[in-house]
Amino acid sequence: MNRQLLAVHAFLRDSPIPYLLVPLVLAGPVWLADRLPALGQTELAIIAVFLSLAMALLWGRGPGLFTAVGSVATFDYFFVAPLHSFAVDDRRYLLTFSLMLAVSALGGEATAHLRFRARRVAAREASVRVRFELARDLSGCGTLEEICQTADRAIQRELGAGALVLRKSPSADGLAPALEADLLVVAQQLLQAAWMPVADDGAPRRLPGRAAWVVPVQTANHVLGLLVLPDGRRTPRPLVDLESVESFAALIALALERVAHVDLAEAARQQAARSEVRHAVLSALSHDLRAPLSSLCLAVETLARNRDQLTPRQASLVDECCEGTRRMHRMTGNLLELARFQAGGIRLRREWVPFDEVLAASLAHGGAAAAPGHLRVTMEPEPCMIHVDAVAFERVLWNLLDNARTHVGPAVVVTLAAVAQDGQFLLRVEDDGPGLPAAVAQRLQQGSDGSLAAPGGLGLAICRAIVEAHEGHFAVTAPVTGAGACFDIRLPQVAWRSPSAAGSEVEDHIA
Amino acid sequence: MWHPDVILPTRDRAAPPKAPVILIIEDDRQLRRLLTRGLTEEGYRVFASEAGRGGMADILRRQADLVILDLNLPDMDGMTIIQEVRSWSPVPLLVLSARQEDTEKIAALNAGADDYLTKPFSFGELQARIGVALRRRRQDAADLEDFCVGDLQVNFTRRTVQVRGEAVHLAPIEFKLLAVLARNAGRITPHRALLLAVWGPQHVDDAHYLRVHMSNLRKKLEADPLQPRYILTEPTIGYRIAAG
Repeated sequence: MNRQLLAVHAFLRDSPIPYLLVPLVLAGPVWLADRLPALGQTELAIIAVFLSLAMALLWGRGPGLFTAVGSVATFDYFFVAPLHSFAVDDRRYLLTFSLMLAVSALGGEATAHLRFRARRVAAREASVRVRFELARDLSGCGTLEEICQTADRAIQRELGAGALVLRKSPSADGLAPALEADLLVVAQQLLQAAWMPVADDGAPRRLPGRAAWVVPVQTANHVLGLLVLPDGRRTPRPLVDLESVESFAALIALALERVAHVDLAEAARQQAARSEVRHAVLSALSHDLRAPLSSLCLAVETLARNRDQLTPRQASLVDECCEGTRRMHRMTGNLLELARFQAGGIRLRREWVPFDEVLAASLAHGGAAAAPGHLRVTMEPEPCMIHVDAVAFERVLWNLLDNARTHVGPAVVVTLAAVAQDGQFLLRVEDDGPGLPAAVAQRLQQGSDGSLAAPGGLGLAICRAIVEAHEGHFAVTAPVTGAGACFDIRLPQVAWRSPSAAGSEVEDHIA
Repeated sequence: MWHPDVILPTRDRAAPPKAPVILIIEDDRQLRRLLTRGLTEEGYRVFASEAGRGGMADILRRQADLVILDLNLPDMDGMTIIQEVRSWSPVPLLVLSARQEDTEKIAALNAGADDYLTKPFSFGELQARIGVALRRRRQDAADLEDFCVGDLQVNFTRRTVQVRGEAVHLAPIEFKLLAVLARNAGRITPHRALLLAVWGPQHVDDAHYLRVHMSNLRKKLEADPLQPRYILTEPTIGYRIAAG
């Protein structure tokens, strides 16, 4: 109600109607003097001054001044001798007129100034209220769509026209109902071209060649969208200036960013929950498979220990069982490891280890010792320190050696050449067997899961997964000598910290 | 009638009364039965428990000389059992783990377990670990003067090392490492423990210092460093020197 009255008042104030009211106001004292003959000149002069102050207060500076001049003239014409003439007999009245005019003008000016100040404060208050309401509405929004709807409603209500155009919009068509189609197209082109006439200092700019303003909706790092305001209308009320429009845009940007972060957090939470479930399933599986496997291994081994009481046929069957359980153990291990790697979320514990230590561990885990001369190893430099997850990398070496032994035979000669230099570790593993079938090599090279079905494919797939988890490169290459299988492993390395400092410290201490 | 003894003949069921007592705490029935049978055949007096709570009570009741403990028990967390047992008994604890994660093994060793085996394991390996643990229990108080394993001889008072009959010169830091390993012969010595004993508390996280010196030590002592006989690596956990 109050707001409507204010709007009517604002409309009237900006029109010529107050000036039309002045003659009516001036007629007031004349009519009063006619009805109340007791009123003297003094009272009538004071009433005239009062009326001009009242007009200034109600309608501003112009009508106030107009009333002041008019009331002096009316006073002279109707109440000062000679009556009904602007001539003045007593010159003292000139002083009275001057004082009346000065008091009315000064008073009117002061009143109008106060009014203007009051109006500005009210406008600022209204602007703060609008921003507060927008902030409140936006804080209740949980999705991008809700933010767009709230922002559009607020723009229509407070700015009259204009639209929010987003870089990533949930519904590009329904977003800018109050924006002319060509402006919308221009705004979208601006966003797509990342041409930001506004991004450098964040201030609103006029669109070149267009009757419109663009205000960036941006966070500290990037522009999320534009607030497009068609020009050619009055400064929006109660958003008194463009500064307010900017804070309007900042509020929208904040809400957009908040929703984006909520989405990210939700995605991360779901990812974590999924990987937790996978991990739980895998570790349960690993436990459940290993328990019966342990029993089987122990039972078969107990049989083998008493082989002197078995017939030769039974003894050979027991040996087959031993080999079978050993292979099953290896394959379960490989399968679980591959599942773990493919499920993702594997945290490698990379540390500096000598290459020969990892190789020794993989030979020890392989069970069967390599006969002298069947394993040729060159390392450069010595000790050849590598930055890897020792357990995972041991599995790589072990799979490569085991594959060679299983598919070529126990007489296979495997050559390992390890070189650590220039922030890289290069390892070439080569055997003197018949080499990989071309199809397997090709599928392995492409990282296709089809290679899993090939003999030894599971082991090689794990090698590849582990090397890639180390941000390295695993490749099947043409052998340098002979026709055997040849694998290249390339791992990026961090800078090696020499242990000499700590070593010498202790040696001094011991000496 | 089928009888398991036809397939698994026993050598000597009646263990001598002085034989060491081994307590198995394992929830898998089959594995428990096989371990009981195998260890009884080897001459130990064996008792088995299927749950953590009862197993802990059995340690005192049976006066166990060694406990084989599965880390995944239905009623209690294995780590809690280790910590609780360690608060009142020094009995050697040999841990069986079905998981391959090293964090669990390291945590078990830090909590006070003496050794661990990952399932599936070989019976021979289990026997060797049991032998080491029991021997340590007898020798614990004795101060080590000499250490011999295979062709390796170490004299701690004269600070000399001989391999295959030849004297080997070791740097002071290498000798110190060898000494720490030899005092724990047959058992895993975690990286942290070695670093603490040799380099001191400031360097307990610098495992790569240790690895470089260990690599050198291995080159001096082993005939084939790639297939070591004496200094064995337990990847990411520590080192073990073969028991004498």
